[in-house]
Amino acid sequence: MKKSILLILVLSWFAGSGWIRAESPDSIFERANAYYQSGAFDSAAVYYDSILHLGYESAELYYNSGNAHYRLGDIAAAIYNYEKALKLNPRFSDARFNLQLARLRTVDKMEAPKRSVINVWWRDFLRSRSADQWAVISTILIWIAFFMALLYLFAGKRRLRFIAFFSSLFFLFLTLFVLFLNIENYRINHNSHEAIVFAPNAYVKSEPGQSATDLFIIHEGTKVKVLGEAGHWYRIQLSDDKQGWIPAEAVRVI
Amino acid sequence: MAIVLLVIGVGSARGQQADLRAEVNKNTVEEGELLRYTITIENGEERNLTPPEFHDFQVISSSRSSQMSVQIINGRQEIKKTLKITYLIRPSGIGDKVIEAAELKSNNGTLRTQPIHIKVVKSGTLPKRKAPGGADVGDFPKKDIFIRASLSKKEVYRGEQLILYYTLYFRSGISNYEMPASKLNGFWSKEVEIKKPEVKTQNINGINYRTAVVRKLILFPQKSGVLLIDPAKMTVDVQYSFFDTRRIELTSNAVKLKVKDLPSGAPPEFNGAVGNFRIESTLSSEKAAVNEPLTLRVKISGTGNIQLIDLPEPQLPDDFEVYDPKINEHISTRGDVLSGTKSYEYLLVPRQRGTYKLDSLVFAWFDPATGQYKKAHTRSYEIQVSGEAKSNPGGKNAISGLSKEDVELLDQDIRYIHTEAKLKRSGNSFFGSIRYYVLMLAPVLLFIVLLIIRTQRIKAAGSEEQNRQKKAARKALKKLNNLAKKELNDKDYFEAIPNILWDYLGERIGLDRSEQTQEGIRRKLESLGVDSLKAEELETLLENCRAAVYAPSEAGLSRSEMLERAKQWIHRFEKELQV
Repeated sequence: MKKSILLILVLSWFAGSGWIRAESPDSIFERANAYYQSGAFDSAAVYYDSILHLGYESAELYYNSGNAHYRLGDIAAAIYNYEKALKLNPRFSDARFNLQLARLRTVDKMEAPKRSVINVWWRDFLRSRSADQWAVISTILIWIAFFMALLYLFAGKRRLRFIAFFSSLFFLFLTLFVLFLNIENYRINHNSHEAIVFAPNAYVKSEPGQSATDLFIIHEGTKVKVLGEAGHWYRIQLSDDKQGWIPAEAVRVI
Repeated sequence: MAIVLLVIGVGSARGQQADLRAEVNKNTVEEGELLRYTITIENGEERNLTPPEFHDFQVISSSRSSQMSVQIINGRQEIKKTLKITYLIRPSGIGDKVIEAAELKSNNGTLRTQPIHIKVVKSGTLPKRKAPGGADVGDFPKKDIFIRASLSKKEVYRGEQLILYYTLYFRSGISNYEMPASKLNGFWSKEVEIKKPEVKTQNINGINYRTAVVRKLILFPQKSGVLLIDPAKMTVDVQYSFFDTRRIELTSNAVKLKVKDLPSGAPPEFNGAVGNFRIESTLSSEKAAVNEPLTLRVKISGTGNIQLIDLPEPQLPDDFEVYDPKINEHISTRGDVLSGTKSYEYLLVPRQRGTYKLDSLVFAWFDPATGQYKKAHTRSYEIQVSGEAKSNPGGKNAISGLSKEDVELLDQDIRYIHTEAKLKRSGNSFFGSIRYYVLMLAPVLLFIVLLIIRTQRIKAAGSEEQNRQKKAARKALKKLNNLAKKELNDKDYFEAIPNILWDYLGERIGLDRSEQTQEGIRRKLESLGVDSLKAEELETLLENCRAAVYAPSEAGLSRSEMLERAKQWIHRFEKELQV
């Protein structure tokens, strides 16, 4: 771990000095892939993370980094990266699959409390695409609606105009619906921060502060919802609805 | 089995301190009866002893027995010498006789015993002993042998320890005794083993008794209130002479004890311990690897109801497997106080890596000496567990809490990396970007602009139409007027009028050529909401014109009349349209 931090520092120093700037993030990515292919997972992980430090990201980058950390046995980091990848692209099936495998190796196995089917379905639907993906869909739809409106306005034949008018209206409503989904999705993702536990284990307290009562223990790799913060403490909620406070350094927000 | 009744001087343990005592085996004798007078010298020499002058007694014989014991107390060796001189004497005469004091010169000056009074009664006055084998128990003088129950404290707290003594008072030799355990209601008790009863002399109402504590119990009252200890029974073999031993049964007195309830304000950790305690713990190591067992020992020691108390349970997270503790108990009744230690040995096996806290254990008790609750706690530990937990050692069934899908995943490996990636500057999201807003708003704005353009064009086109409509009537009327001025034959004239009307209707209400039929006009006018009368009028007019073309004379209407009718129809039709 220390070694990799050093490497990142060195790499970012090079980046700052312009020495590595000549090397594009894409070529670093290729290099990292090569390391991964040769089995040098620790180097691969460092290079993947250095791209992130340079300020670039992509779902595949997070996914590959997750794989490298998985191979190194750092399950918390693997889960963190898979989650990041899925946040950028919720339909990334490989990331979803690997995340599921990584979760098998965590200690905490929590069963989510039963929620109504519609509720679950709705949330899954909202999260089935990222905010950007929804935004792309809504722009495409609004342009279709626009062209239909043009057809309505300038078509000569009455029948054609009739069809164009209603399909334009239909696509307009569809756009508004997707826009609504887009905003809801954004609201959910930005109001509910999620975090991954990085410490091997952490005591969850009833209040922020070391002297507060211990409620329960969570282990590395567990995903928690961050409800709020006070000083260096996060108020968290587990998937089984248990709540408590945890030191901020024990987790990393996705 | 005869019990040797040993007399050990009080304070004899104090080094070379000399001591002198004198005693008799009975204080009341019959005339001519023998009695024993014993002088006990401790740490003294016989040559320094001045035995009493037996004025009223005849000395039959005297004997000596000496004993030496070595005691090591606090590393210091102490030697105790005991010399016993026993005189067998016979009183002369009846009445109160006195054995004078014996004297002993020692380093600390002269020691002197108390003079002993002996009552000599007439022969036969004292109750006669029965012949051997006689089972008569009732006539034995009860006052010569009895048993008493007594308590070390009169008032205690619930759970506080105290001692119950059963003391045998006797004047004759005792060869054997038996005391069955009696039931004590409301107490938890622990018997103090008596190996050799210590015999003392006690004078009660002028009678010297030998006393021995034959049974000792440490009691712990379990109830509050006034508790009654029932009389206890005892059988004693009394030896009057070598051949005369009798078994008699004795019953003790009952005793009462006041038990106070524990004061309020007990700490939550209190679970009934009364006395004075200490608690300590040891952990084999504060560093361990996963699955490497640790031992936690917790020890409570002190005086009190240690056998009745429970140790606080150590609180450990689920990541530890805690086995049932091994409990060791060492109890001692030394010094007539129940004391001891109780230790718990827990085996802890960490199953996950991490840093875990083992909280201190709090033990609370009531201290009857101060009448207060007290608390003590062990130290807390922080256990560092290192290493890797083996989550799935081959077996699928080893892991609990997995769904069916999860179990199927166990055999699989992660999917391979993606070698293609579109790296983007992080934080540059499309949603909410300027590009997004432009792309979203552009069609809306474009549509609005186009809509405005089109509406204006339609408006312009609309006004043109209206003008044309307005002009249509004027144009038609003009054409009709011009018709009158033109030199036309009847045929042309009457053919022109319907044409002018058709043109007018074409411009005014957009009547197509195809609609220039009776039906067409009617439908058109109906759709415009015009009175159907107008259509009939038009039909008549057109019919008349047609008739006039072929037979002008038969038409019945002159050229000017026909023209006038057509004009009037247009006027009326315009009016109708304007309504």
